[in-house]
Amino acid sequence: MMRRIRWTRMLLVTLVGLAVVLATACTGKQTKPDPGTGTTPKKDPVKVQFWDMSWGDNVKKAELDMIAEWNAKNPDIQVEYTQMGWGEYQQKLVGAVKAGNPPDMTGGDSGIAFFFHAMGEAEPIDDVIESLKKSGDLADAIPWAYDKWKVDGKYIGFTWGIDARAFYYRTDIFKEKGIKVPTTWDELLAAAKALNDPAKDFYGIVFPGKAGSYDPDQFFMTLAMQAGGGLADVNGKPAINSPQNLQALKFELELAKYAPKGVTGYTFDEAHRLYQQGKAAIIFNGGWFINQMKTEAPDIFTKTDVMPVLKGPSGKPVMIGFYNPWMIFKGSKNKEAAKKFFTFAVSKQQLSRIYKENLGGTWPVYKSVANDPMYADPPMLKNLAKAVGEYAVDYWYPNNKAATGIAAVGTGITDFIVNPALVGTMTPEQSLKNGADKLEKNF
Amino acid sequence: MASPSAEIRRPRKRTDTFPYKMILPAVIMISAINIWPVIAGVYQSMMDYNLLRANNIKFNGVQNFVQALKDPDLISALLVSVKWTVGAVGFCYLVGLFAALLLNEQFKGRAIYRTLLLLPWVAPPVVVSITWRWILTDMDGLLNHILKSMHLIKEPLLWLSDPTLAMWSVIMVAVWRGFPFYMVTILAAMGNIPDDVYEAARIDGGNRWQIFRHITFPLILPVSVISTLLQCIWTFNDFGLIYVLTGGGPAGKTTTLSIYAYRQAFQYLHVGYGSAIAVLALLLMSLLGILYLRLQKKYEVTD
Amino acid sequence: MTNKLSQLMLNLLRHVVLIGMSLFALLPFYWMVVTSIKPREEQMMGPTLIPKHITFEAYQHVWSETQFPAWFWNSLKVAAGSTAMALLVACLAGYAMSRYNFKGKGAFGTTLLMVQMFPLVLVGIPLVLLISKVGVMDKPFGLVLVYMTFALPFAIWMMKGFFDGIPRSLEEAATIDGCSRMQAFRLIVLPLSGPGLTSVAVFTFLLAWNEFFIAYLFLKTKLTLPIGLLTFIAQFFNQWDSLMAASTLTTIPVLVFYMVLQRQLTRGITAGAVKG
Repeated sequence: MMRRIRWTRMLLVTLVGLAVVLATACTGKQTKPDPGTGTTPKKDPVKVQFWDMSWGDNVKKAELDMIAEWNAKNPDIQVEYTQMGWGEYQQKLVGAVKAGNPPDMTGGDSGIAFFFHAMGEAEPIDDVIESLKKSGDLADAIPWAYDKWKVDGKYIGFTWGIDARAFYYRTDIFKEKGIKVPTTWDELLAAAKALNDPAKDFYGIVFPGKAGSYDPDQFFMTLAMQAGGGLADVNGKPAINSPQNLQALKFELELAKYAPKGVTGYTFDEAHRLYQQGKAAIIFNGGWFINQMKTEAPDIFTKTDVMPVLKGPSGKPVMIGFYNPWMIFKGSKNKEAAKKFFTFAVSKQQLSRIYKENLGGTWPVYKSVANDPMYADPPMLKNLAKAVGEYAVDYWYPNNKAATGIAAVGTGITDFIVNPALVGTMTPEQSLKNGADKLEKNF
Repeated sequence: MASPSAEIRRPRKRTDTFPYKMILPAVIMISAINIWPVIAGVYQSMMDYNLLRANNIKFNGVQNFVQALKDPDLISALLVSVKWTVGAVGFCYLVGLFAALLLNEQFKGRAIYRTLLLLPWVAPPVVVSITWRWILTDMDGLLNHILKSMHLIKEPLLWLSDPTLAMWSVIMVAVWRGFPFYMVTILAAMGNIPDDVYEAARIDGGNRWQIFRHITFPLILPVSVISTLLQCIWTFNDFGLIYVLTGGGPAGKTTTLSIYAYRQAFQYLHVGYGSAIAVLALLLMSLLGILYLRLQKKYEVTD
Repeated sequence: MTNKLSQLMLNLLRHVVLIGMSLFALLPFYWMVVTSIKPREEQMMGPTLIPKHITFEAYQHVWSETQFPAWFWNSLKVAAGSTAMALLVACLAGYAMSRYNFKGKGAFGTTLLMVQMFPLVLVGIPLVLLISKVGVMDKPFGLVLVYMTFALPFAIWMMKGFFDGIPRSLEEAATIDGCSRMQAFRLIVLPLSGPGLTSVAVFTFLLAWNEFFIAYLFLKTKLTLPIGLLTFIAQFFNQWDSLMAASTLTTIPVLVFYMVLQRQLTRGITAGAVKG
């Protein structure tokens, strides 16, 4: 009697277990219905696979809205959207390409099209550029937005947005101490020195310096570009150990004297908290910081402005910006459909969705958008939008000849050059040489 | 419910297939998920496989390994890994042992403490690393805030940004997360020691230290050794904790072998080289594994 | 007299030390929870132990405006599936290891140990390629297969140790009575293995719930909780309010699960550890 009861219980348990496992397997295989498909198509629609990086919720929302609008108007071409993470997107894309199954259209880092062009997998999109010319959008675009992607006589991508960095400062403190808003390196250093007051828990400047992070190399490269340096020369030959880069590194160490000692462990995240807590006079951060301050520290927000783009020893004002592209794969099975969607997506009207949703995080590639009312308040938004249009330089790809080597630098600039010099375990000369030795192997 | 007589008679000459059938599912899964990828990984480690030149992958034998052994960064990563493993496991053990000793007697509130002290083990590692990173930030981290308000420090300590302190901070977080494992296993082993052994020792006039040294410690030694070896392997291969806290810095002072391998394979895209480094780590661990097997034979409780 | 006094002092000291250690153990949990109930501005304002205002808007945001519920459900599916399958396979294998000396037993045991040493960085990429060939990438089932296998060495070791503690005479009596060996296993041994099964279940559940690296490589859309949390760590700044609220919500089920099964768990580890 007992045996039978126990047996039934065992059977029940096994069945439940199996059910759980099967539920996992089965529900896993169900495909979710497309969002935004309003009409029922008569024949099977062409599916365009669009993969993009995780640029944050705002960009994602704008992209999904864009896709929904397209899908509603184009029942015969349906776009499906997938996000990739920053840790393994290269592996995923390369894996897909090699398996003969790449997405039709993809985003990536600011050099992804070069990466795949080197493998022979990037589809030329000259016809898309032609359409943009006809629609008039091309004339309004910043030339580098499309010229960057002209390789071997063909266009292999188009920039959808610029991710820029700037210096921000405390207008009230500058005014109170009678300091002039800096426009050159000397003025910046002088301001940081004058306002530095560690005894009162207040620092002249704060910036990122943590190992294993991309943030510090953005700060260093800003200075390097302002000094006339960079990663490669005009011919695409690596030029890391240059006198200009050394000058920039030494300048960063000078600035570090008026920053908290902990900068060697800061990313943008820690730096922004410090500035919002009212503990720094100047900060180097991204365009998103404007909105971030508005939400997180409204009263610091009202006392902050963007510094005019600094003129470094090179004499020209330079700020860095990442010109992030979309591209189409040669291995795509629906190239025509993908190109149609691509043309739609990079139009001024559609890209403006992204600029609006991700205000400050993504800057327009179309110059006239800087005058859009969304940038009117606060004025620093408009100033920055204009500055980006005029001065933003892509330090990863100022010219696109060194493109392939740069893709594998990773956090090398931070880890080999910036962080050791900041921490003090190497002199700037040593760390620059060390960085050059390690990184130039890839070019 | 009589079964056919064939079941009762255990065949002696034919090999009994029953145990093989029982382990078959496990063998299949382990071969597919564990063994096959390692073979593929070892194969990958012998290729000149650079994602930048993904169309041009060639076999290059042991060249990656030769390069690895000549690589000064690899040697320093190895040293960091050793420092990290010894430090983390050592202190985990000491703190776990200490906690077990404290909790080994019956007293009021014992169960509560035991529950509280086990909590660090169950927290998701992602959450742990991120939260600790904020707590250890110099300017607005909780730890410095508490120490300052208790007047124990004047200047904020650079837990994660100072080249010497960073390793200790990382070890501290590892100890926080890892000591419960030891606490539980050592407590379990201690629980097995019969009370009359202690009684006899006390009657003989032994004080606490002597009892510990001559009775308790030798009896928990087998469990200690085995859990320590396992922890060494897990700690050596651990990647996430350090990476989130310090990114391998400052100035490479916390870049362990696993972080170095990850960087090579996933950031610098030298997949072949990164795999070779991982294979070297595997070989090292195998040495520890062989040690474990020898010790297990020595300390095995016969059934 | 002095003996009693010194005994009291020692007791007090013991409590003081344990309280200190408990505070240390609880510190990050406290910070996580306290931060999650602070309003956004106060969170950014610098460390405070006691919040000035309390709000649950972070929780509301996480639960209703992000993908958190989907991640939660995915993690639950994966963890439950992994646990069920690991229990099944580990019980069978553990029983064989406990009761039989068969050719290849030593090799199998050694293999179980060796596979624990494989660095994830090494197996990561090949595993991704393998799983995508099988067609279960970005599907919870793919993770279930991987996690249950990762849990097997410890699970088999644990179950073997547990089974070792159950006298064979019980099964022998059953088989003499006419039971098949499987029946003896199912009806006699398994019901007595409650604590062992529980500890394997807890261990596997924890492993699946918390695992990060493989999930990161495998999942694109159907994220589990650890990867979902990562999306709050945007490239250049963290959304701390969502992150802390989501982290708290991620930790709670594990705590509950653990507290409920705590007694069984420590019993299980005791038996398995000492005899293994």
